[in-house]
Amino acid sequence: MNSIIRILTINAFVVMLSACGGGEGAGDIDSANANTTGTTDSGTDSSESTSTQESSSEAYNNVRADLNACISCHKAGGIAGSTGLILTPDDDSANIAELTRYSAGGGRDILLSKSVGIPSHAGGAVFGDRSSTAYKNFETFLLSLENSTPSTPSTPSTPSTPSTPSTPSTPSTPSTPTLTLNRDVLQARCVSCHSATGPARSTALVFRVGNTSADVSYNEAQLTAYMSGITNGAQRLLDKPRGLMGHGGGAVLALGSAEYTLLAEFVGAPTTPSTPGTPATPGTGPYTIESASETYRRASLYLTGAIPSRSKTLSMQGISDAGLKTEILSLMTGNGFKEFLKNGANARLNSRHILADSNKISLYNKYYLPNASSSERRNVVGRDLAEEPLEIIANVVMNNRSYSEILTANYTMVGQYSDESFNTGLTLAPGEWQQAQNAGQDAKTPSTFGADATGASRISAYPHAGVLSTWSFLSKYGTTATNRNRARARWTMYHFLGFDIEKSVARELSISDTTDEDNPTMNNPACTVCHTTLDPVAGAFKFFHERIGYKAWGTDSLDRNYRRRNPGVDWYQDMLPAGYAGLPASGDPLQWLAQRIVQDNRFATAAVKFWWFAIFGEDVLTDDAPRIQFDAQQTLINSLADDFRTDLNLKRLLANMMMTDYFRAATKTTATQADDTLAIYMGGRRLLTGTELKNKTASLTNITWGNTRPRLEGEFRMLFGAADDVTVERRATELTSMMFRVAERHANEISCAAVVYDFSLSSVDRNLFTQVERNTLDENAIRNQIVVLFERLHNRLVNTDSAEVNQAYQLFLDLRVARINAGSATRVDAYTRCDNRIGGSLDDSSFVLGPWRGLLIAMMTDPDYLYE
Amino acid sequence: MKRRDFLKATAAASLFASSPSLLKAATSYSGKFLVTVHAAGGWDPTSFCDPKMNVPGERIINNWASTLSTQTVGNINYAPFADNDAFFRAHYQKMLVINGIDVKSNSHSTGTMNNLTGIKKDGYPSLAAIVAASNKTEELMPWLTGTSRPKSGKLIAPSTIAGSGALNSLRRLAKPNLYSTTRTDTYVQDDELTLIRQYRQNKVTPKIVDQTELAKQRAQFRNYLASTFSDGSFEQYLNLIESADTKGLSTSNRYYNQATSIIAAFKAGVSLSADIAIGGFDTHGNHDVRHANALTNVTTTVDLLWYLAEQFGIQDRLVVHMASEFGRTNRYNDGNGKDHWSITSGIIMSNNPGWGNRVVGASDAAHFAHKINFNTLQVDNTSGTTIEPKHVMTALRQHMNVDSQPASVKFDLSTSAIPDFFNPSMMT
Repeated sequence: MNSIIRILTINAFVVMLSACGGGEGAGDIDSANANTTGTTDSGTDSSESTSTQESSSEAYNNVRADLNACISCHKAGGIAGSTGLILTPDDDSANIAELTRYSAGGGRDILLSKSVGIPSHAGGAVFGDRSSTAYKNFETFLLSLENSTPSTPSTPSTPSTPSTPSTPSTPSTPSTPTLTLNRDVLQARCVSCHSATGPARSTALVFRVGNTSADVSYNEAQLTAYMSGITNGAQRLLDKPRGLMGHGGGAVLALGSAEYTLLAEFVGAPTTPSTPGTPATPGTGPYTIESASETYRRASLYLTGAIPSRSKTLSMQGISDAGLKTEILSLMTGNGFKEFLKNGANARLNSRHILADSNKISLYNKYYLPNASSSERRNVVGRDLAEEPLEIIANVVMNNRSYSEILTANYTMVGQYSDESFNTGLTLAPGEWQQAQNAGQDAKTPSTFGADATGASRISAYPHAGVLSTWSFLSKYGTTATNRNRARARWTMYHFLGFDIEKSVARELSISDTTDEDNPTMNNPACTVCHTTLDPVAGAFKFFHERIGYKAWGTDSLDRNYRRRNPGVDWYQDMLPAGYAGLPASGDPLQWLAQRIVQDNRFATAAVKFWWFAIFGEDVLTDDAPRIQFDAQQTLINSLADDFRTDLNLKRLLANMMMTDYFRAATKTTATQADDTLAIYMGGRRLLTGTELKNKTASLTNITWGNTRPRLEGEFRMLFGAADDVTVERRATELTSMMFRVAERHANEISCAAVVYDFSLSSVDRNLFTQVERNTLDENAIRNQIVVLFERLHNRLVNTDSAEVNQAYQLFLDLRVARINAGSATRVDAYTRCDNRIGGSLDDSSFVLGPWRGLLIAMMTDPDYLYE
Repeated sequence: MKRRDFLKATAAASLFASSPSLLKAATSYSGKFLVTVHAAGGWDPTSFCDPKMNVPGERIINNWASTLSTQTVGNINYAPFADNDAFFRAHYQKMLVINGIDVKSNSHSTGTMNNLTGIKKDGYPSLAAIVAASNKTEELMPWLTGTSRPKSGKLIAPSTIAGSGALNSLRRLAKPNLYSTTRTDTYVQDDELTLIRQYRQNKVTPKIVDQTELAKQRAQFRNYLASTFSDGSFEQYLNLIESADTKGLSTSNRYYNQATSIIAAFKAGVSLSADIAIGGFDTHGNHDVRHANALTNVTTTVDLLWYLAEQFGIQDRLVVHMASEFGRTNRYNDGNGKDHWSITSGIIMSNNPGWGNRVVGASDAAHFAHKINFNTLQVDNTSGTTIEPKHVMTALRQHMNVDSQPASVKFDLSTSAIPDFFNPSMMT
């Protein structure tokens, strides 16, 4: 591949990415964190700088060498040559002037933030972090620009005589930098595509590159002409940058961001969409919010698998929102929470696909498991491999570590079998998991070495990159000689950046594009529009083979045929090299990529979307949803992401999600409130999974259907709508008749045992029947008991004289009559069965237990039991 | 309450607006059944229904063409590849082959969406979903699916086709109150069960029209009620699966199991439509061997569909649509594979239709699509139009008599004109 062409392609890619690749939420941190108070992201107030005021020239000299790192990109024709900061090699005067201009225009904090890679600086953290000498010198220099007239610095070989420092003055409180439409929106986000040479050059909107007054005038005129010349032009101008209406560049502006506001102001539209159904204060809209006790109970079921006791639940009534959130956070511990995390992550990653597809275990010919047959390797080690990425995520979250570690972890998690296969030296018990390094892969060229009892030739430096380097992830998104890790790249960006590259452009290909044989993924604009973003990320996976693990051939994992024809290389020469956002990878490429991803602004937003399904049981809305609902949800997602970004603590994010109106909305306040005027279209109750239903029943009755082999997780798992992570990747979120029959059988089989057992306990120890005894026929007592059952089984607080209780009481009476009419036998299992018992007497001489059983069946097959 | 009574009681105007699936008059369905067979990965029509011989001096399109020639049965050409010969000879009378479809994409996800829905836009339902939603009355599982992410358009809940190993479990679900299929003892008596079901019905029915309930909750209640109906059709469904003669093909094979389940469900009145996906077509390497296997899976499965349909006497009501997200290149790559190609083909099948044994649309020797005149169906590269998936899908909606139903109207494909696909007097 012509290196010049490759460099130019990289340039074009970076220019494009600087505008198009920012994605949702991009720019928010810039404006929100860098400008409003003058504090930097770490909270360090620039006024706390201890450096004395120096002349600009001396300050410049101190940072001059470090600035070369900036100049290498930020120069005419450089990778960042289309940004708002253009420096000049070997021209100190020009550079001081340019930095003065940029800083005086409100960009000082942007300069400082980007120099340490915050937020998504394509050049990365060129000055390391805020404690570095380079950063401090740069900060000193920029401060000096605000208080002195810069003098022409001397040449580097002749140290200048320091000028007398001016009296240090307290730096003025930095004003909020002024963003401008042309510089901070059009130049920063649009021109990489919408320019005379960009991929969008044939569209109706083409801007000039630059920030001169002539450029500004021209570009604003383009916007005006577009609005008047295109049908719904104004709305299209606002929608397309948000990634709507099939915008080829995807989402480059976030609703509510400062940049979006600028554009909206220019267009003359409301800067925030009208969402009459979304109250400014959560919980005050035209809909009711469920009680704190109801929310707490649902949160407990999801997060721990347990229904809290009635007393605990009722104690939540009247608690403040802050108190409720604290209680929810306190639930996030223990095995139940760990299972929630793992199941939630698997719902997105389909990590357990290995269990259903034994072909994916062929990797394990490269590992050694003493005395194990091949089927054992497949089965038992496969179970550990399936859980590996999920255990990594759980380990990070349970230990309150930064969520970024799910990708940056330089370790993996091993279980009872993988500890030996990975040659860790650990001996773990069943169910035990620990952090470890994978030192087990055979370094020899691929062959079965099961007979090698010592497994001496092991790779000892496996480059762990959290989830990304696990075999489950790599094999779920496999590769081939022609795919070349592009699927892995695509799904990495989807899951961890919230960026679906397949939907980022319309992909309207002409047949000539399809027939282009001149390396189209590097040369044809119809292809490079995606591949310049996709292929460097694909390159980061270059050492992971499709089947044979890490560095299959010792130095690389290239396709065998390609390798034979191109000796001595470790990546395909007709593809862009490993990298991200225009930067080439260094060190281990996958570990390097992981670091870049977690520094990207979109990582936090993607995390919100990743966990949305686990909480709400549906995906986030797409732009075909009613606009009012879509906009409201996008605003919420951005808000959650902004908060999450401050500490990347997933527990706090999950709690925040459960405190939203989406989780807690109950009913409309009036029947006349039309659906399409509400931003909220759902209450939080969702269809329970088989596992959640099993847990709920076990928690309330002490009985698991199927006992040690839970039927809802075994025999009826798929029939109750579960995913197998291979053929069915997403579990059912709507009830079908098949699923209802499973629920019906579940209730039929265990209801009798539940009643019998509960009545065998003293009333203070009972879960359900706390208000009656086995001979109670008093109406008031029965009604009180029914109220308890509604609370216990349905999480509904009702009154004894409510319509629901009236109906249930009548059912009780009718069922009792039916039992009496059946015959004189006085056992609850008379003429019927009572299976799965764990104790208690079957005596029903008062014909009371039978009706309670029937009522329990009715309530356990009610939507309020199956949805919570 | 039987499902038909529920529908009568709840077919209010407001329900119409919010639940287009509950429209059908309360009669048993007597219309067509639809099966969509999606060849997942991008199939190669030049080795199937749009055969291409190699052009002297040009790169090889098909290795089989080096020694074999295009075959013809009736008016339909096919490639002498895999098990095509047996398939086309057995079923050519049923076929409308549509060649030269330009999907204008080489993306798996976009192409699949386009193939199943007729549009490259999120949120649209597949044709099978539209057929089920538009026609459902009493069916327990109106829409069966064997695809990983069914496209429902939020019209109707899909039901995953149960695996062959689940037959015993299915039997236990046929009568949830029965302890065992070999015994008569129950968990509650019949009159108790009746009381319980009536209680559920009375409690939940008012909620589906309760406008104080949020939209999603009302939809949940509707789904719930629709899921609770019970009649003898489920047992019949299971009996048919068990008794089906599958030509000796093992139903432990996922595709053969799906075919058996689908036809049994149609016959029993449990379902109306189905989507299935048969994979293995993304042959970037070792194309000939892998593609032959995948094509054989498709032809064997579709052949089985027809065999079973005839066995159960519903062959005259069955419509099968075979297609894929795109095609494959007109040349081999360095790995003896074929890459993505935006020109593809589709096949629509019915039993002895007047429009069968025909081909509409065409491509040239190098598998570039010809434009055709939609009225005459003749090649017209000057002023004709390229066939796209939306044209095929619009025609299928008409053919399945759902084009004027609310579901189709809501999810309009915006096609101003379509080829006269089903005109028996014309072909390309």
